[in-house]
Amino acid sequence: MRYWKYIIFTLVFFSCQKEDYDNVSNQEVFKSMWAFVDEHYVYFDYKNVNWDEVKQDYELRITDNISDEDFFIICLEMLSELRDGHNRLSGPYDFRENYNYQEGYDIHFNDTLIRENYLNNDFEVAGNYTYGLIDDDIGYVHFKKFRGVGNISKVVEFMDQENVEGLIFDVRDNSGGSGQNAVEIVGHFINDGITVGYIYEKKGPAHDDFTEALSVTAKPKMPFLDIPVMLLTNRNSFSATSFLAGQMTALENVTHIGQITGGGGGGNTTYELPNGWLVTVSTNRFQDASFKEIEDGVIPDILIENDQNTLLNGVDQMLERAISEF
Amino acid sequence: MKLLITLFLSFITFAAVFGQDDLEVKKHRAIIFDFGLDYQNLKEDRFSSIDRFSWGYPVNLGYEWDRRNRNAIELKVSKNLLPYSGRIQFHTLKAQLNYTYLFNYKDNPNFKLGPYVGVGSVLVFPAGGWSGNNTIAYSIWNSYGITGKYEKLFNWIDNSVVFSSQLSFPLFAYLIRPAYGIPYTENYLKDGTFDFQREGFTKSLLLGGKLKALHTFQNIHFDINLSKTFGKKDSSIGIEYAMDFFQSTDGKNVRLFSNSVMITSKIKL
Repeated sequence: MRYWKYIIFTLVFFSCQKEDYDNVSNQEVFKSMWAFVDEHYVYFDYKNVNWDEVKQDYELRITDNISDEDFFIICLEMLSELRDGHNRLSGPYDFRENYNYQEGYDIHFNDTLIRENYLNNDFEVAGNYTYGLIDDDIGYVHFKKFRGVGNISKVVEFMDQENVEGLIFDVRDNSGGSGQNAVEIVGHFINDGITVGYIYEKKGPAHDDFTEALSVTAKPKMPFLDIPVMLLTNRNSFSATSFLAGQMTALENVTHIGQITGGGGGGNTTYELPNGWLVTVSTNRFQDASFKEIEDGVIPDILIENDQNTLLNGVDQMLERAISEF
Repeated sequence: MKLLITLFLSFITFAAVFGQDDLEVKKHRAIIFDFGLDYQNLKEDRFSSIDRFSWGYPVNLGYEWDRRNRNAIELKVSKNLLPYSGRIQFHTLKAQLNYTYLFNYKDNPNFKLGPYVGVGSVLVFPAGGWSGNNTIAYSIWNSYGITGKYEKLFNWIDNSVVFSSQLSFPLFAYLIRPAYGIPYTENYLKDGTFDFQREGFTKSLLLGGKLKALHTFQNIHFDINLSKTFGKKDSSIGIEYAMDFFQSTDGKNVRLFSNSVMITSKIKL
């Protein structure tokens, strides 16, 4: 009979357990967040941030008397010390983006204008790709979001059938998405496998606990386009799009034109804090084939940006420059 | 691979050498079907600093047969959705397939003892609203352990009520877990290349395990069962309380603890 007491106790004990996030102290949440970032973030050295000093500065501001919203803002500010567009804190408030990588840049882009003035409203759409012909012999494709990457084969087939002499691959205002498929796009512009960059994963909690440089290889995909390609970017080309730009710099037939990309060279990882907030930080790093970091952006071969007035007059200077390169 | 073969052969040898014949040679074949309700506690350090609790619905399917000693193959599956905690939910899926070989210990008809070999996995993944590299955490194992079972027939209802209790735990295991905070095994990150399409990942996953002993891998099962037998005591239906404690402290910790109440059934073939 003694045993039944234990069984009943165990069942009752666990049945009464509930998550009680309201009673978690601010200090506990702060320490959990700081430690997660400390053990997983990848750009401390590259950005020259002393995370221990950051902790000391912000810890003083944390008390249990401050409001939940103020506490959230302090945590957000601490995270923004890392100046990383991938880092974010998600809680019950809207302001979760903490670093504005567009700040200080004039970014002007109008896809409607391109469809009307350059493609003459004669274009096709496959997923996130909008494509057509400029002057009958130049292919143009705008890729607006890194989802449904596989539709690139339809675009390439179209360009192949039209026998275009060159292709403008426009990724302006593409804020990224799933970057792991960037190599699939690159694969349609090569006829042999090529190393397009290197990735470093964290393998332990120390700031320099990285794997060796792991080469990322693009493999040829059919159909294959052996023509000059102009890659168009602006500062809104972030994350996976920077990833793509960084990879395409390894290709000899690609010329990169426009503004520096928005950067975002790391894949990210999310973690749930003791109060239910979610913190996300960059937890691996990508370098291009020449071992350049892309975290702060990929610099084009030809730097040019659109002027707002010119755009209002129906002219996309960046696109015009790309056309003139053929 | 050599290690696995050695371990498997050791298991077979152990079973053959130490297995003792029942005094009464029985011939018996039955299928097992159990289902019930469990209350689960999850702590997965890859995703969260929060302990979660939820109800789930475990199911066991099995086949047992006696020749001279008792053999049983059992598949246990438990799927849970751990509740919303402000922002996020987690799914857990635990599945394990065990082969157990039991013989009477020191001719004691009530107590059986024997080794078991099992394969299993615990998968944990966020239910949505989650972004990042850590979209799944897995623990996959091939374990070797010991099971002890006590059975007693009560004089109730025409000698047809059986009380039994079983405890099993692994002694060592070949355990596959992701490296640090990412969903890849360590060996996948060692050959100097990285393939986003995960070509060759399955092979590296299967070869990416480590031999772990009790201090870093625990998968303990304990149950108490009360059954009413039918016919020639080959079929039965009963009720069972079971406790399952799974924990791996290799790298990022994961702990899955469940208490379940099951309706059990055994049907003679």
